[in-house]
Amino acid sequence: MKTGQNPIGDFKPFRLSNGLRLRLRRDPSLPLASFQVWVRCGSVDENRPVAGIAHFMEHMVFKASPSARDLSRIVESSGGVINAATQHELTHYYTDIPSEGLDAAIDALGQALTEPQITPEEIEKERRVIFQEMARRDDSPNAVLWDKFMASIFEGTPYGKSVIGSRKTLSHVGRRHLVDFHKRHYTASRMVIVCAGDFSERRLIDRVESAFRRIPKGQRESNGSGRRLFEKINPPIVLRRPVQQGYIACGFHTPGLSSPDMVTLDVAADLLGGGVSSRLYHRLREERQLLWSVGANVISYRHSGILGIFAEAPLNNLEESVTAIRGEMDRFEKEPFTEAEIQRAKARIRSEWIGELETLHGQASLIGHLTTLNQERLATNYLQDLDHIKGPDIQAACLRTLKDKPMTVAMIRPEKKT
Amino acid sequence: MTPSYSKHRLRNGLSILCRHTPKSLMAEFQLMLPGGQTLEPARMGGLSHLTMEVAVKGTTRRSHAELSERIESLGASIWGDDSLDFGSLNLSVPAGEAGEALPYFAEVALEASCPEEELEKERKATLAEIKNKEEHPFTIAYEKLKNLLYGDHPYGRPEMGTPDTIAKIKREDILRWRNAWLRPREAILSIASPLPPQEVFKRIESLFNRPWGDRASSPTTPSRLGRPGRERTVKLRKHFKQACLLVGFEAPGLSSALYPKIKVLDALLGGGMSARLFREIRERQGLAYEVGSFYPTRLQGSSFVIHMGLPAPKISQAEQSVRDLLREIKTNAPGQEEVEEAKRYIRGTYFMDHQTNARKAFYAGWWEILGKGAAYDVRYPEEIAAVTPDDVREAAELIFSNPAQTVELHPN
Repeated sequence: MKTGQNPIGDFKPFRLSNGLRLRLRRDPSLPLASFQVWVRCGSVDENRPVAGIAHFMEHMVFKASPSARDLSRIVESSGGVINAATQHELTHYYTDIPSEGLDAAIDALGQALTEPQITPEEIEKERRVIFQEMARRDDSPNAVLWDKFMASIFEGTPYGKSVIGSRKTLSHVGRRHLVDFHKRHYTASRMVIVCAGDFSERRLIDRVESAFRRIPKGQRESNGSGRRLFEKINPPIVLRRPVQQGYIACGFHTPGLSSPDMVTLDVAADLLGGGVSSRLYHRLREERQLLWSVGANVISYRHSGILGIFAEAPLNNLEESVTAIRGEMDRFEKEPFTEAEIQRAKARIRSEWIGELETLHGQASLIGHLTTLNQERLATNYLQDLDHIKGPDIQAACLRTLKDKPMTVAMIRPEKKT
Repeated sequence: MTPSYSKHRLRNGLSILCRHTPKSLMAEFQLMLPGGQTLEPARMGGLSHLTMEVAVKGTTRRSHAELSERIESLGASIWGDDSLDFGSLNLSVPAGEAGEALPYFAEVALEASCPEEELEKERKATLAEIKNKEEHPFTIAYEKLKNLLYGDHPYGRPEMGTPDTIAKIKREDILRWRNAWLRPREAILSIASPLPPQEVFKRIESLFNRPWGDRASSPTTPSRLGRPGRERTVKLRKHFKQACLLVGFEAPGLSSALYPKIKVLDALLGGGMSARLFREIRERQGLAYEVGSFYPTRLQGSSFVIHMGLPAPKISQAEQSVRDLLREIKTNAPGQEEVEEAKRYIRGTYFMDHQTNARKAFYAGWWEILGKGAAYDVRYPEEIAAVTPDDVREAAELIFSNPAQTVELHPN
């Protein structure tokens, strides 16, 4: 593969009569398709007293209507899979399915997203299921650490709230809240539909039009204010849990998807903690043997993001590991990244992209995610932009992001012995 | 779907399977080895795991640091995997760089030095991973269930060994194990790549066609699979918020004619969100977030496991519901439509799991190393298609008449 070649292929843009954006890529090499609906709505769009309602809404979409078989049965009985995920800015519904089942899946998903079955009885059942999902998360040190880390680095902003909500806020969610939330956020202006795979383009457009035309237009979406989020830096958070090893999350604010630094920061994160030969991994795991695992990556939202470092370390090395991580984050200034390091990071990122895009699901996800956040250009230009990044660009982006910037830290260590 | 594989055998006995995928951009090479944890002596539990971790970290020609720099500069990765019935060494690389990456892969496969220093690092990491299992409710419950089902057989032992067995493994043990395990006559190199197969063969021949492995030694023979004689329930108490319930039954392995029938039973009972367990336990009763079943593919005998995470006070109710569901399927054959749906679910998801070159290489090599032959990749969905409602009931009757082994993990 030559550098700069784009494995994503061309997605054709269309619009439904209600304005809903549609992106299609026909690839008949296998009789399969990935059909995805992205909604520009997530936990940042919630009112605090009902935090968790975006995720609750996602659960309710899967509820069977009294007159029809439920969504999952329609998809799975055709040999497909269906699932959904709620994030801070987005809710993502997808089905990956043999082409022969695609029409029925589109009809069912259109029906479920247009008119979800929000009955008091189903709400109560689903609330119990979500409480179990919360208990499961509470038993995972990584999930707990993530929520606390986000609460600290984004304190005072909607990004600091956990997506799933709390028992208290979820107990407040009633039918009226869900119906209002659906009406306000599940609109054509906030939705993107993507399909990649084996289908007839004209027939598919007609089918999607017929299944989704009753979704209301909604207000024209602005691209957000672009204001930088509140950047208060809290002292390190230490959580006590019955763990066998330490868990560490560190992070710096980044400017998000809309920034020209976006791709450059991806390269910086990979240089620091992307592979076995990256600085953090090589120096801290291999040479100093301070910790078991460490990695860095950029998590980007529309106008904000994080350069995050996540590590697992023996209990007696936690503080030293955090100090050493900070040291590696500052090292670039005195020891700029070498040409060989940069070339390796680019090669790793390029391979990851190609790997992700090997499946129809991977292709549709990338386009859906970026189109919904109005950054479609990134999908097609990412690898070209990557090729053009040079050492001085990385140095400059690191100076802006890391130099003299406080590092947010959250850790989990064992409970104190009594 | 009729994938075709070119087959080739080197003079040293190494079998090569090559799937040509002209449109793809990645090249995948998986050197599959028969046996794995099943062949470890009991006093060396975790030997296969540690061997695979160390075997990719340094060769007689270069250190781990130099090796990883060279491999990563090609956008490639090389790693080892181990499991109960097989192991593998893998290379994943953008196709254009395959020519440059293959010599490193051959170096790792044929000339690993397993340095003492790397062994110590990986020993510490493995000990940490073993301790870390205590933080995962499902892992704790499942290790207990495997022990109830298989006793002292390797299938019943803890994954990655115990702190005692790991502490005792020496570099000589690793080298001996590696040489006995990696032998060209028993191994299969499964490839999926857009490169012309003849070119690939030539390249592989020039790199791999020499004597390697240790012809004299052979891994140990596994002990006989034990059979649980009576129903047992074990209650564990841990610090978690959620309770976990596992119900397991002994079930036949891959060589049994029942294998595809049990796969359909598994899909129908616990395969997805429309399966009976999900519909009853989550949708109708709202008891659990996660509920399902699995029937792992094993050579020497398998198990059928129902699992769920739920509030502790609801365990009895859930156990009763599971018993009712199992009694129903043992007694009454499911409807034709429900069976057809389960079959389509298996075939569809199996087919979709073949989209990447890594999975294409895996399936061909895996079926081959497990003794079914790469052609089973096509035959398996056909065997699934032939399963009838009576077959499903027959499989259910056979399996669910075995004594149930139950593990309840309660919060403190």
